[in-house]
Amino acid sequence: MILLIGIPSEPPLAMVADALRRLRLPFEIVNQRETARHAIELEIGPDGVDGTLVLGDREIALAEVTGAYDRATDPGVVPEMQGLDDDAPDALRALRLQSLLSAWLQIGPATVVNRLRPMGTNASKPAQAQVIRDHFHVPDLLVTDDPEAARRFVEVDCADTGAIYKSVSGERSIVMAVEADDIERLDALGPCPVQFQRRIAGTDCRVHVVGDTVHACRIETDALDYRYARMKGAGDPKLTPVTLPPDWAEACRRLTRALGLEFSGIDLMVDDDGTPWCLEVNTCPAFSYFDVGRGQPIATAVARHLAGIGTG
Amino acid sequence: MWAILCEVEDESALALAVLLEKAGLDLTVLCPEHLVRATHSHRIGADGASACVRLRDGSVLDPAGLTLLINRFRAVPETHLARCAPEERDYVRSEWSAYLASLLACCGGPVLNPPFSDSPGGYPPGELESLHFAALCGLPVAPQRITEDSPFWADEDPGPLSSHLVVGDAVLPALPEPLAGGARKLAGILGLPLMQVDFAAGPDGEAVFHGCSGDVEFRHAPGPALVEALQAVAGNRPVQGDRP
Repeated sequence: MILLIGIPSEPPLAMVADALRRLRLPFEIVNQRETARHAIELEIGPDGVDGTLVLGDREIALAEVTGAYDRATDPGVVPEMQGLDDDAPDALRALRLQSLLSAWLQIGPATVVNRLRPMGTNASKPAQAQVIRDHFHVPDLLVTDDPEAARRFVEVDCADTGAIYKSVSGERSIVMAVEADDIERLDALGPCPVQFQRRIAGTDCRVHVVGDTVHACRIETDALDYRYARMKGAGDPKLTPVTLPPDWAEACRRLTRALGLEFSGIDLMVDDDGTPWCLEVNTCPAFSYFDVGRGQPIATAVARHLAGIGTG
Repeated sequence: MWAILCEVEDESALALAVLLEKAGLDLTVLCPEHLVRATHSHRIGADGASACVRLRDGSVLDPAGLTLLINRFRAVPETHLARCAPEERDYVRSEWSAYLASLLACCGGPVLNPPFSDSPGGYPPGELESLHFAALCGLPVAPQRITEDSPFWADEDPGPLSSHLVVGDAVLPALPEPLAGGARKLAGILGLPLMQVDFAAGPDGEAVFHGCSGDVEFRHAPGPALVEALQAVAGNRPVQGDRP
């Protein structure tokens, strides 16, 4: 049995559900909008934790769950929970139910896309870069609150390429080029270190690794950060499926395994010399935007991986 | 050199500092206030990762020179956050946690325990996770049933606890086998090279697992044995806390 956890209309979850239907694989959706009809019972004994999950009139033995795609969102933002106080019984029950199911996913034998612990590896971009550099080139970066060090990095070390800055943590931020007026503002560096990074000119390539399968697409845009291309007036990026050279694909697989992930979204930048640089790894990729190949290959790969049936 | 990163109110860590200094170890104690008020420069590039922390007293800390770091960082000091607008404080906390994770990965020796995601003091194992793996490691776990409507066992008063530290391969104070082996194995699975494991007394006085944490009370362990165990850990390669 495969569990899909989250809001059924959320694109990645909906696409994996469609793929499972196409493959005629049995699955259940743990719909966060219906938690009032759900229940969980866990038993702890000498062999660890076991239990059952009740979804309406269906009872599922957790031991029979072989795969789970966890796209659960904060229960507080689910429409049915809107307007409830944090300590309202329904809100507490939904939170408790989700935390128990989530806790079981971290320890059970099922293939979980993805477990929380490896997902935490992109909470620190520079810490993740220290893992990435065993597999790919990473752009030189400096995390500092020292205006002089920042100025030297930007004006001297990155004089030939320019530099960008972004958040150190997993907090979403728009990647920005360091411009002349930013250099003047360096003396006002605030209460936490800032990450400066050598700018790599080239073509973005997004790679999704699911188990051993690798799906890549080239992203053509004039924007510095393709995620915000439209907002920055650069129009929609053009996405084209591409096949990676075998050694790049293998490096992507190894990097994904090194981070403990079943499913990753790897941001590569291929420079003008054809060298791939890894910018970061998304550990909870909302892949729907990138699933541009025929037959939604990423969703299909996730579905097959959850079922343990490989690339097919 | 060894370092302890801890708050000034952390009596347990400060007791350890006294113990280590008496043992003649080269030790520095660094407070979060020192760290956030220092000047930081942390680079990653083709040559590897390096960091330089220039403290307000003019001294310079190079993490590569640390052969052991006891990490008791809990939170960015409120006095520092007071410099930020209220709406920026969560962001500043996240940024510091993220920076600290990378900075401590530059240490020349093991970090006990390495920062994890938004827990700068190290990975906090969940209660269900602790119970499950404790049982699989052969530690005696009281059978129980948990539902979305029932409280966790930790909400109940377990009575007096017997607490032990796992420090690398050592268990302090000593536990009989197979409890000691189970505790070591549990620490390995959870990726906590420094872990406290607590036992309650069962109905017949037998030890029953009651939880574990990377947030340890050093004063539970006999001093000389603790120093020896930490020295053994410091002789090992850096621990990054990857789950087996």
